[in-house]
Amino acid sequence: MVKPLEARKIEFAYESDVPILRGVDLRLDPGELLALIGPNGAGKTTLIRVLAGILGADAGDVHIGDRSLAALSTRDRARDVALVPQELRLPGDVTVETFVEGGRYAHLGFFRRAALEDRQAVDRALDATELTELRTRRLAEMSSGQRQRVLMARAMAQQARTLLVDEPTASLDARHQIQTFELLLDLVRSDHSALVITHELNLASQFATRVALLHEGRIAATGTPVEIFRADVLEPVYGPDLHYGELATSPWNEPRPFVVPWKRG
Amino acid sequence: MKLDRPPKIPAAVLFGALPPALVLLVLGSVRYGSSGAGPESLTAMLAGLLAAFGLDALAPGPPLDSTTQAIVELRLWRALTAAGVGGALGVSGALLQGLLRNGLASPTILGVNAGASLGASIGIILMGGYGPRLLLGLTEQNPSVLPAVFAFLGALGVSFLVLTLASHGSRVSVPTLLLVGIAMNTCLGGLLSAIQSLTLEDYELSRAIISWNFGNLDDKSATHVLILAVGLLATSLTLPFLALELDLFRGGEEDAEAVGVHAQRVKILAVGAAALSAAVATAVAGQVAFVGLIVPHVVRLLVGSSHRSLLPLSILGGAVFLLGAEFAQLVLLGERAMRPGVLMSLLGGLFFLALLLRNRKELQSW
Repeated sequence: MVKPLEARKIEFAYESDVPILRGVDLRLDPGELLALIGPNGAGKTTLIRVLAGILGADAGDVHIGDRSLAALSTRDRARDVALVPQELRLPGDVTVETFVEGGRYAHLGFFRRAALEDRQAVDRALDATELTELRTRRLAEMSSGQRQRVLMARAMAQQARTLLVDEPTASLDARHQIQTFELLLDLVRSDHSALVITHELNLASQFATRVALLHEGRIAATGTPVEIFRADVLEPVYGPDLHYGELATSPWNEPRPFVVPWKRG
Repeated sequence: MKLDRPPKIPAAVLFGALPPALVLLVLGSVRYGSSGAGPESLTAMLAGLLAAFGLDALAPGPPLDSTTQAIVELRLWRALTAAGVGGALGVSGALLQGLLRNGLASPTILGVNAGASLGASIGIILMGGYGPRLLLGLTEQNPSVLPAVFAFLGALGVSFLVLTLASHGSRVSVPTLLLVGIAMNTCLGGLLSAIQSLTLEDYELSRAIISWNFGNLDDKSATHVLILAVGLLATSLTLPFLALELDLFRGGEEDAEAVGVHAQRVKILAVGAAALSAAVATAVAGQVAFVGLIVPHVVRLLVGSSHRSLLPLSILGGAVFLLGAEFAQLVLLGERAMRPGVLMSLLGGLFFLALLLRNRKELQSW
């Protein structure tokens, strides 16, 4: 069962006291693929870390289902919410398999021994991310696109129903960008919900069920892609140099808007 | 830590090779020790060893004469102390290097050594008649007890202080831990110098303090071995709850938390275990630095960075390394053998330098 994740009036500042989040309300419902967009420095990564329970909010709270995230143990939280960071910094001698097994941590027993169930979850995650053949590869030998898939695989092995994904396509080519979002789409269609930070407005538009626009630490707008990818919503945030259009097909079999950065002559 | 190369050998090889090497080194140390002739034959040695553990009933031959038996026991406790101290310092370093994600970390960073030195110096001064008379009575039977107890308290106390100062609320910050450790070492170094300069006139005292700082494996008894064994056992019991956690820490503390690791608990348990084992080792054998730096580093280069192998292999590796170095000294230098702390400083300094030169390219980008 996916539980709704809800942030209420989140405020957060790092030690410099410059407020990063200024009262964010955001809800991620079961089955949603919510794209979190916004310019650099808007506070997207900070918000996702607060939502994952890794950063404690200065004010406001985050609920998963009917419980406050802060009241859950680290283990319980990790079974409900998985965070996929933007990049991984790990010694290169770690193999893909070992790294993905790390996702099982919250499911292991007292002596941290992996059971059959854990191995199966790892196998499924490697399979879904097309990494089965690379499982004994060391991380040092992998391309950035492959490493991105390794991060996704670990989150899948974690079997948390709520996925918080930070720029999963940042270093990927067009084909792998589509593949990553297809994987997320498959997941939300099979009893998951996902919040994805992305700068790829057009991937957000075609794949997301809903889009939230974060600007200067506040949610400036939320709505369907059709409601968000419009000049009157985006221009105050991204400026005037965007060109808008629409394509008749999308993974959701409905027309979706597209946006192209295009300097006006 | 640069670990992009694959492990050189499977961990199983070291797990298989180190225990027999350790046994051979212990036997060798009993056979060819200092202070007179040892047991003549293998049977005699076995008889002596069994008698040392109170198992003379199982001995294959007649009991040894009391002098030879005393020599066997002296050498045995010395060898086991060396092995225990090496193992305790090795695992302490491995825990701290894993926690701080820094291959240059060692128990020294926590102030363990400086704290122990200060404690031991105070103990020695008290024994020298500067403290309450009451304490002197305690030390008459076993003169090493006061410095050892104070060294232990100093080591644990200082590492606890470093940990507390590096904590903000209930969170321990790893970079702060390193910096507080450096500052604390400087402060304690100053205090130590002050004590040494104040006692400079008292020849016996300053000699005892300097001697303690060279480390000492002589005149060890079954009690020392027992203390080490208890400390090592306590540390070993934490390892199953730290190995996987420290593996996950390799991607950073937040990343470990994201998959469900209780990072604060891991930090406190790891620092506690590292401080305890290093404190026990230092209290028993005095100042023996650098084992905690070298051993985990070499083990990691050989078998990779997985703590499930790294932690136990650092115990075995530390034991073999320190005992091996001592044994080599006995064979090569005989009576001119250096104190363990001096030997390790010489080796450790060179090793440290080699380490830095190897990674010079990376260092220049700092």
